[in-house]
Amino acid sequence: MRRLAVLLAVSLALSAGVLAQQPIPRRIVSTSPSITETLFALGLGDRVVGVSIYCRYPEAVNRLPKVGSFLKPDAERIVRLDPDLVIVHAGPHTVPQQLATMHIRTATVDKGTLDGIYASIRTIGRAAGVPDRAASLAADIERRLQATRASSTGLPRRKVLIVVGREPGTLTNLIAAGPGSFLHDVIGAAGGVNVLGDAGLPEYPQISMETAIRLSPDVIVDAGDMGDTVEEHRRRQPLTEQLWRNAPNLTAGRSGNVHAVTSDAFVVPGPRVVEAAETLARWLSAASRPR
Amino acid sequence: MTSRMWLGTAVVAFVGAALVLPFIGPSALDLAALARRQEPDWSIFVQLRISRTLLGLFAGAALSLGGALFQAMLRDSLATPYTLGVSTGASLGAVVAIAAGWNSHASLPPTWVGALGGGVIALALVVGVTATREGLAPYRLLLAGIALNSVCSALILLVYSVTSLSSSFAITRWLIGSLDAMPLPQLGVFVVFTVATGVLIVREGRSWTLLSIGETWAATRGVDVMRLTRVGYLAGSALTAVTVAVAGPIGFVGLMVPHLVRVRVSADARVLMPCAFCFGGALLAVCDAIGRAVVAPAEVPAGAITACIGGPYLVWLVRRR
Repeated sequence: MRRLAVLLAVSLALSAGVLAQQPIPRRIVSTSPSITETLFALGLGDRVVGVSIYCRYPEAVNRLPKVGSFLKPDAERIVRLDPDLVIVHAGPHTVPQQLATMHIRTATVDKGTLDGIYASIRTIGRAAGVPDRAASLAADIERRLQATRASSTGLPRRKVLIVVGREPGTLTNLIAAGPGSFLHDVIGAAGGVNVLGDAGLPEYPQISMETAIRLSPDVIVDAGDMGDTVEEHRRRQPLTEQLWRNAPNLTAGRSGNVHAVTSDAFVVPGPRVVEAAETLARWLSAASRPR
Repeated sequence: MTSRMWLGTAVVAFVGAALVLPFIGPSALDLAALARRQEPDWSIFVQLRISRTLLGLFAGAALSLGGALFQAMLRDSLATPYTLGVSTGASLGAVVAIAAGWNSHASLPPTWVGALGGGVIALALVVGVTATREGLAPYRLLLAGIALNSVCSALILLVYSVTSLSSSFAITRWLIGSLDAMPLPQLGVFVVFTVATGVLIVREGRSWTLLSIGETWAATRGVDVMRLTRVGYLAGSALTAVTVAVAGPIGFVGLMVPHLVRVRVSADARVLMPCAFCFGGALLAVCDAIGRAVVAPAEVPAGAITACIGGPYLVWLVRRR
């Protein structure tokens, strides 16, 4: 038993030494928009050599090679970029194992809630050798979210419905933000109440228009059919808002409190979550003002 | 039970579903408010619940009848309304419409326009490839349909893999196939089309029964096999493509219901087809009602419920025999 304890202590000391000696990565590959945005927010943009096919922010990533999606990163493309750190999401793929056989280091991050965003920032910071910057980025996000929450103190807590998916051109087959999603936390930070916040509901439940009417949200945010480019977001914004205004029996539609999202910040669980919360707080505050 | 009694039961199931299911949903209806036509209960009942129930009834009916038709025409008990490729062409059209970010045209959602366009192109392709001077032969249709199915499925995957995150999300949801309320005028067109095409198919019931036994058997008993195949293929494909356009590719009902009816009721198309039409409609509408009430306010797509209930029942039925 004593021998086992000694062996364990030695191996722990050795692995700690290996970790301490790990070189700071110079060529980093990201496999999702939230990872890419976190790397750029940590000031590591110049070290990113590959991104996912879904990455569009910041502008600089459009010139970088694409390495598949977060669901299915392309190991061959990744290897060709000669990275010394690859950051992936946990998922059904086997990319970390494949890369390990080629001695390429990977870090796996979580997605989902606001806490997941903080944890991902810290994991990425540690893996990229900038843990202090990560801690300060997470603290900054936390501080700004608290400030946003504080600014809504005294205002009535508005009921919010955030739609993240629907059949294009219609208000059918609505998918909305439920509890456990980062958008649920964004609503809380903006001083609102998620109409689909009941525990037990899925992270992103499918609901019908009937449920949308019955829940009677004060503010509706639609990120469901926003298109891919900024121009496309702007082009579709009035069409989407008109669609909701035409829907009968929706207070938010009639009172002009429907907002079609024109920023990816509402769909990427990364550092721009602050931007989403601040935008939503502005919309909630506008909904509280008499018209 | 006699065939006549079964037909009566099927009609009762269909009409019963139409009358009862609008009262089932994620929230309770205030009946007094409904009687006074008070909002929002009145709109929820008429515009959302009745519309969705009717869509379920007629989409299920169309898919079941399509399945019964193709099983008879191709003499293949595993045939479904999706076997002959047109529905996958329609799916490809809808997927392209989502990926390309088309706008609504004349209040028609882009997926409908895409699916109908894809269905028509697929139909033209299959007819163009298989038509000979003698007409359309079932085995050539089957081969061309299977080939087209594979190609369109591959193209769907291709579009899916190169499109954006939000589009791929929308595509995945659409491909599951689910029912939702649709505007009553468009629903009216769909119902009239389904009933008219259904009558056209069921009217040839005697010929379908003969054809399901064998081509020569049918031909020697006065059936114009080529004409019948042409009518069946065009009517069945149109029915399926339009249904896929409005409800997405809902699975299982088109395979399962004709089987169940054949095993429990009759293999005679004159009974089988109308029974499949009514029972298929009732089944899909009931499954959709379960899907919208069971985890309310969240919903489960009707296709998932159909497969969960129908699959085990079909296996049980086959084992019992």
